[in-house]
Amino acid sequence: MRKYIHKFIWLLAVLFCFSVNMHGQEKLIKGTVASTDGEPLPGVSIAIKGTATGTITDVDGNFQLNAESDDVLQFSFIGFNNMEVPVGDQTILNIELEETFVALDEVVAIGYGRAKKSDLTSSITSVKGEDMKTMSVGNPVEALQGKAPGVQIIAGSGHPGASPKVLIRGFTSLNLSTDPLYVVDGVPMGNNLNFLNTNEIESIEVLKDASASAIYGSRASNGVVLISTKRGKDGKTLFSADLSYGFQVFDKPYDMANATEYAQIMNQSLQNAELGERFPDPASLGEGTDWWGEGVNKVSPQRNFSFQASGGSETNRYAVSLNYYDQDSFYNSGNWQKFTARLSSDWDFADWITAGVMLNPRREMWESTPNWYQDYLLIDPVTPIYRPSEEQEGLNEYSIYQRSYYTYVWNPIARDARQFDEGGYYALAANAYAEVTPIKNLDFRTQISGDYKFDHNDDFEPDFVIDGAHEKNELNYAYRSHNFNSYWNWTNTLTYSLDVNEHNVSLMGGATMEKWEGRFINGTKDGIPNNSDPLREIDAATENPEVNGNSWGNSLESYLGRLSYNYLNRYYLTATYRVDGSSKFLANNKWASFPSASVAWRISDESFMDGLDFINDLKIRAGWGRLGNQNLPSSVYTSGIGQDYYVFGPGQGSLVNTTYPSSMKNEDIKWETVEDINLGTDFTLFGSQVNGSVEYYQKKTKDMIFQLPYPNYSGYPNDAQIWSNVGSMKSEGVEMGLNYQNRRGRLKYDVGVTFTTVSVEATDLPEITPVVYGDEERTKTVEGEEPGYFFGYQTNGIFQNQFEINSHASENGALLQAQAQPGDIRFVDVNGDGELNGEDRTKIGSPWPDFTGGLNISLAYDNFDFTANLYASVGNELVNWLREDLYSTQSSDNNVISGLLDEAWHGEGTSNDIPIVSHTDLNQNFARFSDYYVEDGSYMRVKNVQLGYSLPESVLDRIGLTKCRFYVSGQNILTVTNFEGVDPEVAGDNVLNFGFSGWTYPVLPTYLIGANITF
Amino acid sequence: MKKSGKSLTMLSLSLLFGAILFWGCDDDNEKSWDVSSDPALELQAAEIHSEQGRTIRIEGIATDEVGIKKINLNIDDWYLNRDIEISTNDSVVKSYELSYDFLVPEDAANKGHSIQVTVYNMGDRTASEIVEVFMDGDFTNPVLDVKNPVNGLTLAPDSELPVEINAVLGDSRQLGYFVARESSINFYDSVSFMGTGQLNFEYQNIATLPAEVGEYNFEFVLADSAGNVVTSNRVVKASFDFDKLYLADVATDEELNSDLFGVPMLISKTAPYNFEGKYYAEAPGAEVRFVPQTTSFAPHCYGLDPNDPSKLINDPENALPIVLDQKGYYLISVDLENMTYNVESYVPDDWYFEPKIENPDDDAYIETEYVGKLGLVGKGFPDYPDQDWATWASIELERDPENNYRFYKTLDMEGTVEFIFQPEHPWGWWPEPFWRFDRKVDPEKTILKGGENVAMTVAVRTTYKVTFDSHLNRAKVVPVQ
Repeated sequence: MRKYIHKFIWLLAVLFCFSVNMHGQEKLIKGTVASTDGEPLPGVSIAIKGTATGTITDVDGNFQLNAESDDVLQFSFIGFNNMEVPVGDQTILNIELEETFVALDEVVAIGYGRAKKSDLTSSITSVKGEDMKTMSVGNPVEALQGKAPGVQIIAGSGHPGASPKVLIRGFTSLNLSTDPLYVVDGVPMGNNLNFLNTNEIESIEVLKDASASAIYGSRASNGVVLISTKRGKDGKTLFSADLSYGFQVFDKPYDMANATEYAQIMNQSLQNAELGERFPDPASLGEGTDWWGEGVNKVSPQRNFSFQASGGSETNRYAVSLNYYDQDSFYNSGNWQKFTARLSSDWDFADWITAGVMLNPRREMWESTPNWYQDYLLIDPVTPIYRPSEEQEGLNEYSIYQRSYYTYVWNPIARDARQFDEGGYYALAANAYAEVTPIKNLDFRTQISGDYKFDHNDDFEPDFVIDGAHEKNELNYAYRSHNFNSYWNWTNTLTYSLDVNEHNVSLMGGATMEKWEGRFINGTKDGIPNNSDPLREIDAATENPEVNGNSWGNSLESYLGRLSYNYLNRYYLTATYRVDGSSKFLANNKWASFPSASVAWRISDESFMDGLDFINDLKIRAGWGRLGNQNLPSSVYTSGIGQDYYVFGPGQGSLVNTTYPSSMKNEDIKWETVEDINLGTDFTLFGSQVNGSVEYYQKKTKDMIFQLPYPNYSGYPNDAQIWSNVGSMKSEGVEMGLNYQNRRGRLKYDVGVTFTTVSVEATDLPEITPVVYGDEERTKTVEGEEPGYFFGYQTNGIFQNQFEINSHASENGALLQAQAQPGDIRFVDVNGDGELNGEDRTKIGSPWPDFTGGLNISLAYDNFDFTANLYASVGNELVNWLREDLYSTQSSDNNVISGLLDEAWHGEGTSNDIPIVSHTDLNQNFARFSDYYVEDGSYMRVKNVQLGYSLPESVLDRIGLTKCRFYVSGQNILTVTNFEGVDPEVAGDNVLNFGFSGWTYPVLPTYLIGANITF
Repeated sequence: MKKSGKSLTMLSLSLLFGAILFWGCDDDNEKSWDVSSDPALELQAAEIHSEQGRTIRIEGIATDEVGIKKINLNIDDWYLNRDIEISTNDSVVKSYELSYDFLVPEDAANKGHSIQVTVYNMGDRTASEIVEVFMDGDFTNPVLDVKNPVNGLTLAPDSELPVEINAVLGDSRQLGYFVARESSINFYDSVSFMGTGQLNFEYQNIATLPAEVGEYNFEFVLADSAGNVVTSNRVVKASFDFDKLYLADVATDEELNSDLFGVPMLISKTAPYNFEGKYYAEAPGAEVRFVPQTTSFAPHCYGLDPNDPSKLINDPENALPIVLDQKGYYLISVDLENMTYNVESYVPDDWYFEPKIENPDDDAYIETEYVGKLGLVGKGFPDYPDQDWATWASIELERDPENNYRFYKTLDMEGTVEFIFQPEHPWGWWPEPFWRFDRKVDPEKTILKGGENVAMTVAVRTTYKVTFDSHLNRAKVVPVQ
């Protein structure tokens, strides 16, 4: 408050000063107007307050006009705060305008149209392309992590070409895909954005609630992500280059035993199992083979280059970009490259007609990245890499490797040497549109789009014999596959807008037709004369030819409409309606309709808010809508034939290879439906320094599809099942996005926080299968609980002595774990029935976090800038399967972690966590799925830190550049977590097997240097 | 505003204090009980005679007029110190029937051991009793091994039939008595060993059956001096209609007995006295005869009558084999009532096993379709140390290049030998189809997708040839000379 009083006094003082100089003379005022970054601003409007006199700045930001000393000059420019400057004695005025922090007039993409951000009535998060390109990533979605509330992104794997798992406001389906729909420049482009380079993106809009996404109907239940790519703008041609080069670092994730320690551990393990000692003199084995050091590179390079040109005149605009991304794996094999180009052009033929085209050729190539890095850790360190030289005589180059002496792990360096799987694709996406305004306020837009993709994959497996019993391939073979997929889309919309007496109405109606088609063929043959490169062709092989091929297609026809109305830009109503007719739906349910409605009230414009000056903008909104998920598996609408062997005939009978009906299509099957409500508020506070939104959402899924068994009287075999629309679930949560922007002197800062909670509950499951298990009964879903929770035994430490084992008994003395020995895990008799069995399994964790959040910081000081992005996922558990590989020698001679003999139980009081090391596990320490494997999965990750320096203008002028910025950055350089697995970013194939962590290729630290150049 | 803030703080502190007082007073652990007497404990037995490795049961009744809090069982030598929690402050039990099982350690010393049983009442007053456990119990049944007659022995009742009885008796402490009886022929004999201290005895006798068709049930009972009783029954049939008939393609008793299983080969009974068997002649000139017993060509062996080769004769000495001229499958039927037979060759056309191994590096294929080559999966094969019930290390069978139904493998066996016929799978999965056996010991036929694993003991490492015929559903394991 005191601060405001001071400002008020200063204002009075300034006014007083002006007042004593009120009889000024007209004089020529000159000056320049620039942004706070020093960029000259052309076109800034300068007016003498209270008069019609004024001017605008030229292309270099210069201006001049005549004014009197007591005049006040008003500077205004779109995107910048207005500024008033008294002339006084000054004749030269160099003005710096501050950018408006929150662009309420910013236009964002909505489905089949665009709208002012301030007019939104639904939940849409917009992220600018500039914020995305701060990270160098293979898949642009990775750069979205932590920047959009309500969007949970889980890397799942860090290998080149990996695609992250994206959940928008949790999930709404147990058996169908949970991926959102990606729409690029108005064209649905599947569920993977690998083909896009972050430098191509102008903005990303995430449509989160039904009132925003219902316009996409039967594909929108998991949310919709709209991507707008860059297009040309008026003005001279601007060339720019964004270049980065970096490397990833893969440190050995676990310190494994060397040969001497391995032998000691194995001896102890065998002794604990009352088996004979194997290594009489462990020390004589020395360090042994460092498999990791020999086979895994410590760093792998990553390159990301992008060149762009854009510009145009008032009637013709163009943009061209060429992008290249390249990432190597940590092995001798494994690489991913993608090259994309994007060419767009827009023409204004007349005031009433605009048209444009876009071409997007793409090329990706990869060598498959090996997925067995664990083998470098688990193979015994006693074994050398190669056979003794005398044994290599006469062997081909793939057979000279040594088979593991003690384990069944295949020689990983040998596997790497014979990795020849490679593939890629050529693709071309194109679209063309025309916009016509035949009469005032009526716009007609038609757009035709297509995407054609040709995939290829070649593989060759050489013949080799490393071990005659289990590590061999006696016949080499070649494999080749070709896929061709095509997609086209024709969209027509008609929009009528009317603005009468502060009543703003917009009515849009449209129709779309889409079709997907694909066909594939692949073939393989064995027996190539030798393994030389020229002969790795199918025609060179002589045995076991096999060829497969098929084709498929589906289509969608839709009609859609939207009514947008507001009065005084204060009271808003939006309603949408879409009707989808899908080839995936059978005749009984061919057409599906998806309505939505939302309202908003700009409460800050009401007179009763007049006294609350710190509120710049405050809007509350509510929305409802219905969405669909039509990603039904093909078995839903096809009948299946199974195959099995049965004995028929008299006497002993004969074995007959039979076929039988295994499933029947369901004529009444239909899409899963999600009903969604959303309540939210958007606010801008304290002179636009603070802005954000808080939202509550609730999504209810009904008609979920499940596979149900047939009743016995149907005559179908026991395993025959039918997909049916039964069951429902509910998810709800709160999300918040908060941003604070300000400057202090020359330091400009921007801090953003995102926060999301998701709570999911299965509300209704089929009566015939009221319990749904996943991952071999390791997850369970029941009514009233969150789906897919971890289901297993509870443990209570380690038995320290025989007393504890004997006391772990029923009331009548029946030992709960009769096979246990001191050092084994104690399992809990959860139901207290005096027996330890499957009935004691219970909920032992949940893969779903309590909340996820992000912290995004941007700082700028003179020519330096700094960006940091942090992401956190809190409150979930994960299954760490590696505990078995790292700590157990049960029936295995695989290597284990160094120091295991000390860390594991080896006497009373030595450990209450890691059980005794033994080759036998009669107590099933590791075989029982228990909370022993479940760990806290919370983590916080520094996704990106970047420090940049832009050359000053004086230097730029000399070298003829508009902008030149260099930066260094580190991605994923720090992860704080209690999770002991390889990486806490763990996904899953579906909701029922989420959160199981194994030897996944982790998300790795990446260090980059780069430059952004414009001229 | 400040005032209301202070009031709120005071109110909160008051509520917190009150809550602490409220729940503090209701702390279950602090509840006190007014107890003036000790609990009572009455054991059912103060002495237990047991042995190492045997479960004992401690039984008794504990009572207390207020409530029994817990019972403690303690014997440090046996690592037992167990509290059985019985009552809580909210649920009081005044009478409790103790019944607690405990496994005597294998290494328990041969002496008396004291288990202290202590009852605590709600006032923590106690009553203790001692259970003495002695290691002198006799819980081992005597061993009764009836060598003769073999069960199911079928004798042709041409005249009165002497049945030799031979039984070997044994006990770990002292034999009690032995009884042999067959009531329908009034045969009864008994031997008492009480007081003799005898540990072993061989019983021999002869019972005579009348010369008429019938079925006789012999019962043998052996008891030890501690009253442990075992019985054994033998059925002896006087008949020409055998339950089972076997095809023997070997010539001597030694060959009948040297196999692990499969020789002679069981054939099917189709009607009284009528049997039918499918057989594969591996070479032209194979000779087959039929026997109702498995270990000898005597007392019955059916073959061609030397005087009328169109007829059969039951004569171990003179019966001639049926000679199968060609290599291939034969259907042979015999009628032991009319002593006739019929032999037909045929070519089977039923399904035969085919592996699916076209894409050995395609994970999706391996997961859903891969069925490796048929092999032996089990244990007891010293040349294949990896093979310990591992399908990825399946010991591949050699397929007869001329007969898709026939598989062979010659290999060494030693120790406990178990196996099934199972397709290989690189990930150690268990793809179908597989074949197991009709029983674990001395199996007579294979069972598709069912049955049991064969289990045998091979004392000395020996080379055997395994033959499996998926059409016949028969397997045999014979030593290789």
